[in-house]
Amino acid sequence: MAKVTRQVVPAWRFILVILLLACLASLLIWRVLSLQVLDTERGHEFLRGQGDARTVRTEHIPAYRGVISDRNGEPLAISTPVASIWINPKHIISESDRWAELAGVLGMSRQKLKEKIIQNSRRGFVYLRRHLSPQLADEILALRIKGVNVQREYKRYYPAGEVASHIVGFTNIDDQGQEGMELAFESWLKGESGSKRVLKDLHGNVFRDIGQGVSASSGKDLMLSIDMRLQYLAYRELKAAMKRVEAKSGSVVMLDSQTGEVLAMVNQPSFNPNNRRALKPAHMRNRAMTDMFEPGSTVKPLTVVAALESGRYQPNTVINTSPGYIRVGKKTLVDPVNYGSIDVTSILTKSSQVGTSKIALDLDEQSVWEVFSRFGLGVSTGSSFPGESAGLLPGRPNWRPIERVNFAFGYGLTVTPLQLAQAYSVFASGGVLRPATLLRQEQVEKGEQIISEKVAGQLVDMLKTVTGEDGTAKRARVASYSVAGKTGTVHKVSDKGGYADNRYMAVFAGLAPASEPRIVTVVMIDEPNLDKYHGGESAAPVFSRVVTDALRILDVTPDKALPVNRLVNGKPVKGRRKSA
Amino acid sequence: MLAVSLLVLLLVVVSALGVIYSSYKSRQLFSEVQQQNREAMRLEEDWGRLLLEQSTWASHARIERLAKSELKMVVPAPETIIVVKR
Repeated sequence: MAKVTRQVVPAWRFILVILLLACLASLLIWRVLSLQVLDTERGHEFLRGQGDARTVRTEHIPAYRGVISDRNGEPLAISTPVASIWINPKHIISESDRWAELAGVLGMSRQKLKEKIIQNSRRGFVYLRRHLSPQLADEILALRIKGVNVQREYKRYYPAGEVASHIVGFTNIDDQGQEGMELAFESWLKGESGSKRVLKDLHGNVFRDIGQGVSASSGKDLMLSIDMRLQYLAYRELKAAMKRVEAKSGSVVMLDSQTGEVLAMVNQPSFNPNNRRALKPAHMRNRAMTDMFEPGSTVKPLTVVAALESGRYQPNTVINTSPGYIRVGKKTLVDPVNYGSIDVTSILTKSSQVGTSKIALDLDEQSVWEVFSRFGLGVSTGSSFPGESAGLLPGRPNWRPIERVNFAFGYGLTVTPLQLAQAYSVFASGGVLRPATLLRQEQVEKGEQIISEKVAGQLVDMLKTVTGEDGTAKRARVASYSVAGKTGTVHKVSDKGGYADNRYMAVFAGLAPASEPRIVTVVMIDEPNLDKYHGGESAAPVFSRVVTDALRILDVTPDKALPVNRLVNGKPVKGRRKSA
Repeated sequence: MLAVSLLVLLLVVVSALGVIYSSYKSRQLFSEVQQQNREAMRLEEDWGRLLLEQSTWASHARIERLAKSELKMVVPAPETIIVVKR
């Protein structure tokens, strides 16, 4: 056994060790203090920030866009939840063994996915696929591939498709209104998207809602004034007519004459808002509100209003239109035949240029212009529809005779089909002008009495003759209902200047039933083929078909004496298999 | 003195258990909320889908076609209509 030798340990060694230990301890304390308490550069605030940056996420909550529906609540635009897949290429680049799997579920080619990832490898956010069904998105999430994320969104569907696409418009992929009512009422429809703060684990699963944030508030619903039953009807008939007369484009507008609400507004060509791949900009135009045309003879009733108001004319005042032409300045205006001496009513019935010219030249210089402007021509209807045009109603201090005459039969000014319908609704409502609106009205707008009830009534009676035996629009007649209206056949402006001889627009504007008007309808057909270019031949039949069914759908009591009661032994005679 | 200490100790233990319970409960409720949200989302999807389905089946074009072809319905000719009441 070795002998243990004891040596005296110097005191300074103890002190040294203790000092060293104390030093270490104070270093530790300093470190702890600097991390947790003191406000140093990399102190607790920095650390908390870093911690939050790794776990706290602000999630975007998309707002539900309001539903657009027709006046009966039938949906025209609805949002359904969809999911978009986005990737973080920086993360997914290291997961190359799983790309094939992802491509498989997405139905993408592997090559394409690979290219997409590699091309964007320096980015942090790339959409892979947008607007997938939520089920498919869940399948993709279940793969748990790093860097693949899902974003909840809404996609807009348009159940009415091309029938109402011009009015309703559409949204872009980010749910913002681009056209039509979707654009006009963007802020009303869109709602406020919200956000919430959540804690996420390594795999991106939410494990706690911190609860700070804004909840999303849904957009408000929008009820349009159109009636889908009438809209569909008008669309079907216009489309058929376009084919029949081989026209370039066309529009039908139907107004409720009591309220000014637009019941139907269709245009051809149209487009399907649910499939916009082959969309042509020309198809997107809501021609009934954006396209201006010279109204031609359809404004003659307004000239007659000026005549009646002057007090110098009555519906039965006789005017001599012999010899069937009239020279105004350097121009000669002709009627198809010499009508001889006819009254003011017949001037409308036959749409006599000579008669209208004589009236216009006889009236006060400004009075025709003044009536047009009172009827809302040249002024936007105030519907706030994007791209609505106001038409043109140029006024001037001194009119040359030819200008006055041209004006009186509808050249030298432009209107939209909607404006024309709005103007005709004045006759239908006993002289009250109500602004045309695309929104369903809870209360009837009071409107403005712009012509006396008497004159309005006289005009309706006069316009009834247009669909009579001698009129220009026998084909606008509607079985069981009386119709008042006016045709128009307008030369189009030629590319070379002046009017083209062989290009026309055919128009028919009318109201029904004439005894107690309920609807005003304007049919406009652009460049019908030359056999049927006249308004009475191409536009009037469309009017007749649309109005016949519309009055039936609206359950309006027939005002024309029905033909003999064809009851035979209590059973109706075998009906024809065709609608009249 | 001892009694007070014991009481405080007891209170501490009770409040600690309370914290455990409430945070457990909050987690449970949170997961329930998540589930309900998912359910709401699913129902919303269903609603949208059904609405679309409805408007497809009930589209005017389709109804008209079926009424004409399958049910052989026709619009009565005006002369066969008798007005019962005006």
